[in-house]
Amino acid sequence: MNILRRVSSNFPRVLGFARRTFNSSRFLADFVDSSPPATALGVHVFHCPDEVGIVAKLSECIASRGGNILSVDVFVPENKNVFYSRSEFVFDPIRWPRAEIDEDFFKISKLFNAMRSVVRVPDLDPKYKVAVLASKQDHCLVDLLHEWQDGKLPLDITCVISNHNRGPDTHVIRFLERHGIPYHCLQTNRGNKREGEILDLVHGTDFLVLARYMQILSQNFLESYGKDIINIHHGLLPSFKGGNPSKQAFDAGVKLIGATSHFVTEELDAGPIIEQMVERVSHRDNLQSFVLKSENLEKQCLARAIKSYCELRVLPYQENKTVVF
Amino acid sequence: MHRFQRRKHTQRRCLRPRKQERLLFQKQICSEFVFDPIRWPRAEIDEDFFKISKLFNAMRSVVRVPDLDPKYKVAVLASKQDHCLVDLLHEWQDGKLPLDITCVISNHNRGPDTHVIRFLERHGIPYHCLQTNRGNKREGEILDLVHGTDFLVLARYMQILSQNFLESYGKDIINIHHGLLPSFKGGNPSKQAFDAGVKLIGATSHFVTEELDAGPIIEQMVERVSHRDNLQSFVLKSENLEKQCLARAIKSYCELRVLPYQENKTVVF
Repeated sequence: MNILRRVSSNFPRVLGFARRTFNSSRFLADFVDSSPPATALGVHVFHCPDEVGIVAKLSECIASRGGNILSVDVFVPENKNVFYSRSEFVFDPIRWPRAEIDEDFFKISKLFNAMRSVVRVPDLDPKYKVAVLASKQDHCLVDLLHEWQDGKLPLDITCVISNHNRGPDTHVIRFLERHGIPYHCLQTNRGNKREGEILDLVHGTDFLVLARYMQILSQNFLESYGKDIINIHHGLLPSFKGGNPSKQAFDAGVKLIGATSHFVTEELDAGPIIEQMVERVSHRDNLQSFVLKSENLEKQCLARAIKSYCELRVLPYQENKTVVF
Repeated sequence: MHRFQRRKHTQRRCLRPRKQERLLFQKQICSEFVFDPIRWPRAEIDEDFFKISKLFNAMRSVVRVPDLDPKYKVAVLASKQDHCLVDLLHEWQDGKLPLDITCVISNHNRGPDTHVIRFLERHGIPYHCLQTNRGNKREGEILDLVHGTDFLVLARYMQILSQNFLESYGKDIINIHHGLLPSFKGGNPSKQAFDAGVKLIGATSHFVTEELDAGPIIEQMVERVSHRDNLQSFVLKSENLEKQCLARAIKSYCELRVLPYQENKTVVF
C-alpha cells in the first residue's frame, strides 16, 4: 500500500523506497518545474488512558508537518477509560524527516502517558525480522514463504527452525536455499526442547511465527524472548485445544470447523485471539476433507494475522483480547 | 418424502458383518417426489415402502406427505428468556413450521399481560408454569404434559433433563445452545465468549442426550464480533443466531432432513 512518487533524479535518494511509480507523461514537466513533494505512507498507533483532546493533538501533529491523514480508526470502549487509535497518513519525508516523526509522536505519548505509541513508515523502515518455527506439517510454512516471496508480507525471514528433519530435495529446503534463508533442524524430545538454542537463533528478531510448530514453549522461553509470538491453531478456539483438532472436530460431529491465530502465552492455546475463520462441513465430509478444509483455513488465518500485525492493526485489549483495526 | 436407510449385505452372508464394515456399507437416501394421491393412496405408500424396507433390512424407512399427514405434535419448553420461544411461535403462526404446538411448559411465571401469554391464549395453546428447584425438576408432571407429542423443543429451557426423563420420553428432543459447541458449554456462553476474546460467536442446535450440551449437532451458525462489541451486543447477536439456528433445525427435522449418523453425529440433507 505504498503511495510514492519520486519525481526528480536530482533529489537525493531516500533509502528504502521499495516501489516507485513514474507517471511518464509528467516526468519531463516535473523535471523542469518545481516538483510536487514525494510522499510516503505512515501508520501510527496509539494506546493511552482516555481523555479529551487526543485525536485533536495527533491530527494537529500530523497536519502541522504537512501530513495528510487518510484514515483514522478510534476505539474507546465504554466504561474503560482507555483510548486506541490507528492513523494512516501520507507525508513528505523531506519536510518531515523520519527521525523527527519519532520525536514528535514521542512528545505526544509523554503528554498522554501512553502505554503504546508506535509509528511505522513501511517504505523507509526496515522489514520485520521474523523467525518461523514449524514441525512436520508443511502447509502453513510453505504458504507463508510464498506470500513472502510475492511481497505480500513485509518480513525479513531470518531463519526457519524445525524439530523435523527435511531432506535437501524437499520443496522447503530448496526454496530456502534459493533465498539464502538458513534452516535449523533442532530435534526435540520429552526431556529437551532445545529452547536455549532456539533463543540464540531468534535473538534480534522482532517477533516469531509458529507455523504449526507442535512443541509447547515454556514460560521460561516466553519470558526470555519477551516479544510477540503468533501461533496458528487448527481449530476454533476455545474448542479443540491440544492435538489433532480436526479429528476431535470430526468425532464431535460439528457443522463448522475453523482456525484461530493468536498470541502465545504460557497457557496452551489460550492467548489473545487475533483472527478466526470458519468453513461449513457436513456428513459428506470425511476426516480427510476435514483436514484439507482445516489446512486451507489455517493458511489464510495465519497469513491474515501476520499481515494485520505488520500493518499495526493488532493491539492488546484488556487481559486476553485484541483490538484489530 | 421418503427416508431410506439400508444395510448392504457383505459376501459373508451367514456372519454378522464387523462393525467397521457395517458402517462403511450403510446407505442413506432421501427422495422427494410428487404423486397423484388418487393413483397412489396414502396407505398404499406406507405399504409399498414397508416392503422395500423389509427387503433391505432398513433401520429406518419413513415417508411423509406434508399435505395429508397430521402436523407434528410438539411441546415447547422455555425458561425466562423469551426470544427463541417468541420467534418459534411467530414462525408457526406464519405457517413456516408444520407443527401442532400442544402446549408451552416453563419454569418461569409469565403474567397474563405478557406477549407470550396473550399470544397463546389467542391460539388456544395452554401455558403450564412448572417452577423448579434444586430438589424438584417436576419431570413427572412434564412427562404427563408431553405425552403423545412427536418431539420436544427446548427453546432456551435452562433445566437439565435427567437420563430418566430422556428414557421415559423416548423421542427426540431438540435444544438450542447459545454458543458454538463444544465451546462454552453450560451457562452464560455469551459472557464466556466475551471474556475469551473470540472473534466469532455462534449458536448450535442439537439433539438432547444425557450429557449436557453434547448430543448430535443438527445446525451451527456464526457471526463476527470484534473489539467494538460489548457484552450487550454479544448477547444480541447471539440471540439473533439462536432464533435462526433453532428455527432452521426444527424446519429441517420436520422435512425429514435430519438423520442420526454414527454415534454422535447427524446427516442433514
